[in-house]
Amino acid sequence: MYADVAAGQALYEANCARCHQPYRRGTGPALYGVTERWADTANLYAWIKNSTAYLKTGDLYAVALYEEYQKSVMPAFPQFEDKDIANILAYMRSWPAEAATTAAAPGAGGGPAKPAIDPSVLVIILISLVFIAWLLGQVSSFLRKRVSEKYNETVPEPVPVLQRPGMKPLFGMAAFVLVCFLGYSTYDGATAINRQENYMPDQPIAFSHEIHAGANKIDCRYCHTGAEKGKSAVIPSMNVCMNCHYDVKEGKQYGTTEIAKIYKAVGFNPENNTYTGEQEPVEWVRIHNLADHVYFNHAQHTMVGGIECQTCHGPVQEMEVMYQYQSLSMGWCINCHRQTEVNFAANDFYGDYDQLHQDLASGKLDAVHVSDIGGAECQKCHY
Amino acid sequence: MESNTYWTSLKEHQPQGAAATRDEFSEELPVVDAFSGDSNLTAGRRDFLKMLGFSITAATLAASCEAPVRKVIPYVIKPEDVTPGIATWYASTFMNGSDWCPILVKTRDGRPIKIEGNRYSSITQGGVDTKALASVLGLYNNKRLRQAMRGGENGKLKATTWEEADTAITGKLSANPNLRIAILTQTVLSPSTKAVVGRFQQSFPNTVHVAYDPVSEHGALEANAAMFGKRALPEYRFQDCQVLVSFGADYLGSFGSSVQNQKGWAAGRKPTPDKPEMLRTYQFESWMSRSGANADYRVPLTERKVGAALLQLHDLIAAKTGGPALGGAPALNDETAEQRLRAASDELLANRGTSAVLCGMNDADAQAVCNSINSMLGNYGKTLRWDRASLLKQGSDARLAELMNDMKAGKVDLLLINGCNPAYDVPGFAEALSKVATKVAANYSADETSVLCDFVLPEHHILESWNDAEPFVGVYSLAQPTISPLFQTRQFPESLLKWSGASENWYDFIVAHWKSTVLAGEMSAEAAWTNALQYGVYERNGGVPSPVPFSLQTAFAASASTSMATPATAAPSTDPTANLAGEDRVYAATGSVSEAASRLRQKISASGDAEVVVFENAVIGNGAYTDNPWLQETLDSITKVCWDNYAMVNPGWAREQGLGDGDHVKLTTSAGSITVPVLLQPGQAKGTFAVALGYGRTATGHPSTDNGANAYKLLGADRNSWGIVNWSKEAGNTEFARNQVYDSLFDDSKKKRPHVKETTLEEYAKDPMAGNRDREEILVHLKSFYPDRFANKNGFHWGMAVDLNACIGCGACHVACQSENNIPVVGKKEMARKHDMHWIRIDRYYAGSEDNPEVVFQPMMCQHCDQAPCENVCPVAATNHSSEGLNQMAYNRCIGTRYCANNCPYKVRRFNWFDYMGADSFGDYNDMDPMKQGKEMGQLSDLTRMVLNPDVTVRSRGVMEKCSFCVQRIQESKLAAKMDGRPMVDGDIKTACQTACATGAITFGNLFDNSSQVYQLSENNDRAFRVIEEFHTLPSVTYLTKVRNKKPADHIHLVPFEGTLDQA
Repeated sequence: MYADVAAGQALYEANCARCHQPYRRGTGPALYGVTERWADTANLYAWIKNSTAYLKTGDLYAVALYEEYQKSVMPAFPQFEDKDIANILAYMRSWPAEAATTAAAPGAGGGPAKPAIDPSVLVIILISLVFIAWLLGQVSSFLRKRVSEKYNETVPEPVPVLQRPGMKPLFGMAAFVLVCFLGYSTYDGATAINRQENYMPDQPIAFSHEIHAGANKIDCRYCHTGAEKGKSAVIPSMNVCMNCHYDVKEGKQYGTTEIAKIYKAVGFNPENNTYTGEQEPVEWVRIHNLADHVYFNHAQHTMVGGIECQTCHGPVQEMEVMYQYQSLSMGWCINCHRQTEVNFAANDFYGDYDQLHQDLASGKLDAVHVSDIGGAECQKCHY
Repeated sequence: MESNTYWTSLKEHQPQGAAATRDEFSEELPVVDAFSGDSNLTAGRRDFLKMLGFSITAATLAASCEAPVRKVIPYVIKPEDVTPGIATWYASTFMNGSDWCPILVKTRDGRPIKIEGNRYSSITQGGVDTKALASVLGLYNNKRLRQAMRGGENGKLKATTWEEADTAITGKLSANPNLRIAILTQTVLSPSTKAVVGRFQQSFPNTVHVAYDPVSEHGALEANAAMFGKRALPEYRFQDCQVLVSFGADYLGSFGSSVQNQKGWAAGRKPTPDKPEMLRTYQFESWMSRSGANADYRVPLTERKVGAALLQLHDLIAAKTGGPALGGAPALNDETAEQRLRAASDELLANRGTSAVLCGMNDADAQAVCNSINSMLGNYGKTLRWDRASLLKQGSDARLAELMNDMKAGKVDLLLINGCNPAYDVPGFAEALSKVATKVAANYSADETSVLCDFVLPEHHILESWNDAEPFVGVYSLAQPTISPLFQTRQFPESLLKWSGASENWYDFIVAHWKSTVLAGEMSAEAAWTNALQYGVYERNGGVPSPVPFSLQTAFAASASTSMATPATAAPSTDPTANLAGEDRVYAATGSVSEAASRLRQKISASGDAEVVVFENAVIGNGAYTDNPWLQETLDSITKVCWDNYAMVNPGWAREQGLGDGDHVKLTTSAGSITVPVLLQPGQAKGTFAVALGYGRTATGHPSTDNGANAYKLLGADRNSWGIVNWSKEAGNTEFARNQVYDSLFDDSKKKRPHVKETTLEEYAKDPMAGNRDREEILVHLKSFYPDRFANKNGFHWGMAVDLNACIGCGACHVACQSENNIPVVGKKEMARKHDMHWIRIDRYYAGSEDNPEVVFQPMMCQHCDQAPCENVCPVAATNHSSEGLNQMAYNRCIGTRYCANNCPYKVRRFNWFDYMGADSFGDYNDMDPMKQGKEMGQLSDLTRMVLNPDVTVRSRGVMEKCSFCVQRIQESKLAAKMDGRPMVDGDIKTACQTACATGAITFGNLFDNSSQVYQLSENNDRAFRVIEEFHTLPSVTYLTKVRNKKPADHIHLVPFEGTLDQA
């Protein structure tokens, strides 16, 4: 009889998923590789059917699990037949293995942004290959020379590479290309210094924008209250989290572990819904960093410009782990300022721009862009 | 007149001097050394390549590709009224002794970063002075005490706990109910603090409270007590005056309520073509004060002759008003002075009830004569008012002297010192202090007094405190905390309450005290309290004083306040210290005016070749703020020197005596002696030395603020500000740190136009363009092929107008700008090397003779030229022009060629020679001496950097900076208007310098808006001119011609422009 993986998945989601996750510890242990951890499958079946009863057998592994999870007991599942359990275990075996390795528990703090493949590795490999090719060439020519000497063949005097016909223009071209390439890569590398596109550091709490903004459709401004008021969009204080997590004590993905970190920060005891008064700030890792000599104001862009959060921050509602979507480079800012139209008619503030209004009326201008009212000038952002 | 051009320094005033000052690089550059064969600098091509390779590698490594991980830590529970990135403003009060100013405190994310004036106060009307502006830096002073201390050996304080200190003090208090206790403070403005002291006295009846002022008005208080029955100063209402005659009173500086004085003075100094009227001011004084420099007629006289002039004026007035003649006034032996005195007398008589006579001497007899003059002129109740009498100075020199006698006699068991530093500013106090059994100081830092005490209980900074003040009768203000206490400190009244066993804390005490006294007449005391707290001020009669008839005694009694300095008569007569408490006795000491006059005559007949005058420098104060680097680096209005004090002497007299600028002299009075460098000061009376108080501290905690000489040592027991001096030249010469005098905007040729313009009221009344006629010719020549800069009114063109008539050179704009724009302090050494960083400087020009020159002040900042010479020469376009008329400076683009500074004709660009503010993250890499100075003063410490404005970039080493017209404020106001969906309104934007200017000399706004104030002043005004307009730089800053209220014949008319524009 073959196990039915689909039936196993249905059973898993209905009965197990509340407390167990594949790769992360939830209320109960992560279940990937569970069959390998249990020496005897019969014992595992007994454990799943009624863990309290099985504990009485004194199985050391079971007792250790029980102790590790603060002596909370898995409910009994008398309705499961062996076939059902086999299906569930089959479903678990169908989980891919590589995901398990990436799902190591996230530590607090972050590392610098790293591209997927380090280009310097490629360069090193390339240089090594060229060197090996050159070495082999040398060996080959040396051997050929020796063979020629041995058979007393006349060896033509070697012509230096540059003096060979057609080589000069070739080398000239190559040098030109090399200079251009080096110049470009230096410039490109220099401008990329401190840019952090795709920066995705580990955060102290595995907060998922996908769940909050995507699945639950919570408005960005519910938490980022400053985005419409001023300079800073505001990382929400923990009391904002508590507005919902006073009741929502367990998450879909990480169970209670991540939410417990909120409770620790605000000093909340979820058992009896009381505040202990012991607070501890959460040190998030800042993702969107502008240089110190740049002034940026969220309110200008959200309230006056009417820009969506996603324009700069990307599809946040799809980000399980938050990362920097745009380069946040000056060129990127200026481009947008050149291309974005100002809502000239709707805001009385722009009434003072007499000349632009005349040009609009006379048809000299189709639309006013941000750069037309000084949006590309130094001191709009640098002061 | 002997001079036909303006001059800024004596060197320039002398023949061939101007050429020397014009040479920007007068020192030899060591170029030859570098290229000569025997030089050590023999770097060859290979060395160059090595260095190049190394520096490129180093730069690559330093800028290594890993960005630092930045943390962002939100509140756990966010306070409701704090939004990160948005400023919160609190109304509060700056107060310390008799320094008082209602303020608004700007806090960002819980940190106070900027102070402005509170416009709801009818006294200061939004004005603010340098001391209040700089107090925010004092909050972050590294040298503040951080916990309770106890005295140790050799004046070294040891850390202790508050519990231990409280136990020790309460132990002493409870052990002996008859413990003889004295509380020594400066003037206490706080009615609640006085009530707390009263409460303490109930618990410990053998307690006396003595208040003194380091810069005393004891004489005036005693004279007023004798003549008007109350120990207070009148409120001066200069806005109601036509004539102001001052005998050494620096009313625009440190005399009385200076911000209020400046407001009142400015009200009378703004003539219009429709109403060409002005307040006229006379100043008889020995040293060039700020008031003297701004006076229409200034007469330099020795202090003895100032006294004589006062007596003469009394009799001139008495002769016409039927008052009692005093007679016997010594002659002035100075024709001009006597002529001016007669003119002053005639004008005073013509303006009875609309004039005021002031006297700056701390001498009851001189003050009595002055009071008598004002009485005869009928000024009391009109320009000098008792219904809102000033309580700013309440200290008593007599009681201080008695306390010291008692201390010396061992009659004081416990001395509580709060908020004053008598070991520094009272000669002989340290000796008396050593005889007291237990000494407790509640001061901010380990100052000269604290280190001698058994316990030092550090105070909150005023920005961390609850407090209240009654600086004028019926005028109250509140101070509220704008930040949680940074250190383990405690307010003195809190300590007193605790020691007297009260259950309530200081805050509850203030609220209860206000509800039961100040707000007793209010319908809802709770609502009134909230209102007062929100506005920061509470004024009994709605801020507008009602006119009171000329009946001094009754008028004063009617509005007498419960918090008037009431003598502590509660002390039982058996108490040996009871005699400390008798104020009545002191009243009786002063008799009639004629007796006072005869005593004054005797004093001014003292013989001696030279006099010394000590005065309070209005910028740095009486010594309590000497540890504030912003104030230290603010240039003196007149001398343009900072980081030092000096004895000012008349240049001609000094040359006769063989004294040169910076030479050291030893000054000896009957009280003591100091050695101090002399500074040749035009306008100083011959035979007088004038020394600023407040310097010569020995325990500020840093050698650069322990600077200068302590002039308090020259004060006798009467604390009179002048005396006969013996002087001798000493070895040594000091080079002062001063600016302006090295960069002359003038050419020595008289063919150049002056940068300041002035005229007299009489000429102005006839021709509103008087003094400014040459502008017509300039404008004719300024033709351009390009369209007029104001032709297309597209959006905004920011501009500024500066009224030279209103600028008194006080330097408040200086400090406000420093605070707003993160301008570094560079220290004395750097200032002396001309590396000053201030974005606004106040140029001071002299005209006329060096014995009594006329003075003009001209604030000079980036002119935001529409054809800016600096922009054209920048090789990287780091400075360029915005569509709103701003000359913008992109720091991160600047590579530091300094071409722009070289090409700026106004010399307003500043270069960061060092990483003064720690903007770079490389730590100690440029840890050179001037830097070290900044570092030790804590400029680079985390604590002091809390004062930085987060909206303004901190500039790094090697970049140029300059005035930005407070672009961060422009952008903030524009955003506010955009978010409201409304057009900008004139007055929406106020630059930092503008908000700080008490006299309203600075106006800012949109030049495209014809209805804006700045347009009216600069485009629609005959007084408007621009500096070196003939260069066609098209500045956005306009100045208004100075109008002096003096006869055209008395005014120094400079030789007008004689050449053609081609020559210019």
